[in-house]
Amino acid sequence: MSEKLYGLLLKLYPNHFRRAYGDEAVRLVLDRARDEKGFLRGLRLWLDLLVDLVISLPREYSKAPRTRILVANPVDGDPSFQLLRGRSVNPALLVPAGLLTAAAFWICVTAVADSRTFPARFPADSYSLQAIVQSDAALARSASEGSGLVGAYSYCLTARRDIPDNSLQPLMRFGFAPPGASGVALIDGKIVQTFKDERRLWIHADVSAGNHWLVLRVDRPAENASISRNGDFKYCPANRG
Amino acid sequence: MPRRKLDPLPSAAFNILLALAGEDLHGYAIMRQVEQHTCGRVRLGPGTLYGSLRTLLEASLIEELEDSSGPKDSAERRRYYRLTPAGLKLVRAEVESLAQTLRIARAKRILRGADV
Repeated sequence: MSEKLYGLLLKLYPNHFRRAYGDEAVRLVLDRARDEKGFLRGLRLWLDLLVDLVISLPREYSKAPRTRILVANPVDGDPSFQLLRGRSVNPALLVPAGLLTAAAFWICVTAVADSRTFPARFPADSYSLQAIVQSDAALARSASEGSGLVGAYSYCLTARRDIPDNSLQPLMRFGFAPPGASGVALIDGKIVQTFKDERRLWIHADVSAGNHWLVLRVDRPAENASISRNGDFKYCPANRG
Repeated sequence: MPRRKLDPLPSAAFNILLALAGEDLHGYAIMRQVEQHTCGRVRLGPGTLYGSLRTLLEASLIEELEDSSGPKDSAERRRYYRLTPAGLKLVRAEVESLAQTLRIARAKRILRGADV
């Protein structure tokens, strides 16, 4: 009984102590249990053992040898490691290690969650306007060259599912200053919509799930542009203006 | 290295050295000797006892002996410990220091009783 109980307490000690003195420690307890019979003496024995545990345990862990890992000579060109000494887990490090692990786990989960919602969290309007600004320059160049037209907005967009052209949500919205703009919208090179003097242009089209190129050719720059907000249609990671 | 751990000499280590001054003893016998020397005030537990023994071994103040008379099974064999000359020197110095302290206490009439 005493042997089993003390064997359990002994497991709290570091490996190096158990290996060196585990058997002798159990034997000492057995010797004491044999010589100290009776309830009060037995109680005193276990009180002694508990006090000893509280006093000696931190000291033994503070003396525990640290693991040293050295890079050994490569075997057949492969690097290898040699474990020189066994390591016992230091309970004092469990709490900070647990906190660090939890923090690292939280960071990973947050990063993954953010990456999955990245297009939705990214300010769609400002992203679109950035594309427009780039296209404004092209429009201005076209106008200065006297070509009569025309600028083009081009987006790589991802459909999460098949979207019919009668969907309530347009794929994209554009706004133009009066008297509006005229032009044509193409998806993957195919004309899906033509328009004339439109101030508020909503693009509807049949698209299948996957990536698509939407190109809008217009005779004047758009004032604003936005993408469908229901999450079915998103910017590709690599968009171009 | 161990010198620093043992300066000042911890009470458990001093009692172990004192117990080993007369004879070679195994762990349980050391514990009993210490209990006897201290009139039952100090009962070294296994953690304290073997932790101190290891520190003293590392400092070469004691040495370990195999029990050749015991069973051959290594788990059953007891390890005996013996004071080294360095250990004897250290315990002597410690006792002399205590004796000096005792002389001072006597001179100052701090102690009472016939045996002091």
